[in-house]
Amino acid sequence: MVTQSSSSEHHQFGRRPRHLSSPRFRLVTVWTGMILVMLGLSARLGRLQITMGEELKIQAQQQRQNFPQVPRASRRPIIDRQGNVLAVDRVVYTIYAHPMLFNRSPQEMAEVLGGVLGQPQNALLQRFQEQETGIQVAVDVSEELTARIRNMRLDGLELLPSQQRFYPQQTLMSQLVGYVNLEGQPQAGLEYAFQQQLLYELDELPLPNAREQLPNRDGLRLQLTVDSRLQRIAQRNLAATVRQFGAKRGALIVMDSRNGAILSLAAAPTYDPNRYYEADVEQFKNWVISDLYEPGSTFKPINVAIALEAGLISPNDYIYDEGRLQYDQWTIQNVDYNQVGGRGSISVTDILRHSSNVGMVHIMERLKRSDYYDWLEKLGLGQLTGIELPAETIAQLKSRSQFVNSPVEAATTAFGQGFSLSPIQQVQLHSALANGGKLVTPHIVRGLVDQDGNPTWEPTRPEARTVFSKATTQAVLNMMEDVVETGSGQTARIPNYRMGGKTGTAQKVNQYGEYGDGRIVSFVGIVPVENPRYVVMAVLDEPLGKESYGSTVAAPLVKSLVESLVVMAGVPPSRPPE
Amino acid sequence: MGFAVRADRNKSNSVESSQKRNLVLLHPTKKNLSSAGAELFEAPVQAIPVKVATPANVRQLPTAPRLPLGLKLLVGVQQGSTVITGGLVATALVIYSWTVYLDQTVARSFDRLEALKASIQQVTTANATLKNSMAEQAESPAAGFKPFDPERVIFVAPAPARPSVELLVEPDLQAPMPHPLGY
Repeated sequence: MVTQSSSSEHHQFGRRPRHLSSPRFRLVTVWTGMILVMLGLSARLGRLQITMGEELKIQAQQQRQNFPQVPRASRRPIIDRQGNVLAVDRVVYTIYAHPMLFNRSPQEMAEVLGGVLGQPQNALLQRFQEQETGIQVAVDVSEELTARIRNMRLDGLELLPSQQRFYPQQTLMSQLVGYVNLEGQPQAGLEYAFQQQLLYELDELPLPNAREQLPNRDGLRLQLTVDSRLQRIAQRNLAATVRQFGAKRGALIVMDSRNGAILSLAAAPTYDPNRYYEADVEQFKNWVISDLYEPGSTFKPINVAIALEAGLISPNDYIYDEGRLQYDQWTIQNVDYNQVGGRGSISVTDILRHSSNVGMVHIMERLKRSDYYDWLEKLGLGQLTGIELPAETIAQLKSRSQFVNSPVEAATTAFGQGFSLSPIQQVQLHSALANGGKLVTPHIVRGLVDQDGNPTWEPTRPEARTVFSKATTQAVLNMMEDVVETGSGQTARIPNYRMGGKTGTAQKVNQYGEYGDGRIVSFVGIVPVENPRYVVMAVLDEPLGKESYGSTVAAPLVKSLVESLVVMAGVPPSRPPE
Repeated sequence: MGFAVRADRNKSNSVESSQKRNLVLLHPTKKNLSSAGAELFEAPVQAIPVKVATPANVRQLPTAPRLPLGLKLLVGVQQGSTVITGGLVATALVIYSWTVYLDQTVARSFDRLEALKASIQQVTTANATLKNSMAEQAESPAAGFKPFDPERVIFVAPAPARPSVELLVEPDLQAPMPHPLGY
């Protein structure tokens, strides 16, 4: 037995396996199999990691992080003084229909869509039957409506989102705010001037490995100094006056003279920035800023202030007004010369009250013409006022040599003709009369404010230059008050309020470079005289009718606005009610 | 292999022992045995010769062969590393799932934030549109609103700042009576 068993053991382990079932063969087979599987897995791993890695990573991220499909709100909102929204981004949808993909009958689709979108069913059905695919059903569909349509789960509809700038106030602020075109490019107004401040900063997503950058929609908004309510009243009153007198265009400006903040700047005609493509290209510029006009008599108080400041006259001086002057071939006469003739010796106040051209010429004759030119330059004529709106035009003066060598140039400048400036600069100059002689920078933008209204950024403005003394401006204001109380500006008088003002009716240069029939009428008011703060100016270009003067067209317009202004600004009557 | 060898050895041992047992059974009374064999089996044979078979069965149980120190150390290392590996795998899984969870949470919260911002935008737009249409309606003469007119407004001048209220000296009600009052 023992011998046998030992011989069988030797036989089992000593020889090569003969049968498939031998353990060694099975072992090797299993081992090989496992190695092959491992190799296969390694190859697969390598492929997934190295070859397809990037692609899969993106896929995984897309599944995990559901990125917003629409690049929302890429520009900050614009708000007014009270926080009313003037411009805001919104998402709108364009709806396309592809009838070949409909899962319901075209009749049913037309019925459902017509109901939701408020379109006639028959027209929709007809269009569905005419074309198989790519029918534009609706544009500018709101998000709420789109969500309703999406929830109906209709096949064959395509909802394409797009970003749009929305101006809820429509025509009210278009001359200030401007517009952003359909491509998202700012084209006019503050949208253009402040495009850097209005754009949201792009931020990385708060997610790991996110490649995309989205606008970080912080709560910052661009706040203006403009008051929507006042602007609405100004715009409405201006439009009514422009319509009544058939004027070409008009402007009505209210400025706080203490700091140059513009409370309202109405311009006519205006346009709806939501439908800018329907507007006239001419309307995209704000003519208050970008066009020049000859100020006419509204410049006389400025000239009187220059003469007072230079010490050439005193408020109680008398000037001889012969009613008519001759400079070479040029004749200068008072508007009412044909009716009244020469007024004789009259006070400086009376010169303003009757808007005497000849009297003004005599006052300014006392100033050396080169000094006069220096004064005009000192007042900023020929320089930008610094208002934020784009395309500001600088005032046009004659050249120094022409001004100094030709007496008629200084003479015409004395009553506000022969040079031109923008309406906004004229307001700025009158602000200097109101605030005690400081040349403040007119501005519309307060700055960027956060949700609580705290400013986080404010534009830097140059320090206000002092051009007149307090005594001078007070003297001129008193004269201007007389103009409103008893002179040409009586049509602007508001009971119990002390307002200083000056009318202006200037001849317009026609296309041949001569003074023609066209005129530009204006009125500047400063209120209240005892504590001067607000400067209100109305300018109307080419009002029709022989009786269209500053006193008949512009002064009542200023009056109507000042009535609202004093109530809204809480300016109490200067005198106790009668 | 080793096991097989051991089995064989046991087998041969049992053969040996059975031979010894046979020997004992065949020659129970014989005393002149080889010295070593006599010493080994003297006592059982002398005391209870009949039951001698029972002690003969006592044998050393097969014990696991002692491993060398190096191998023991390696086994220890292997067991330790198994535990550590298990722990690390578990930790890795937890961390991985945590990162995925965190990502998902952040992504979800971010989505919610975006949705809320979109709602703000919608509400702002709707609010501004409503305001504008209300203002336009108010402008129409049919609405019956009148423009501002300072003659119909009462201006109230702000009152001068009042002096801070002085503490009133309360009359001392508990003043001690100078003398008792009788009723």
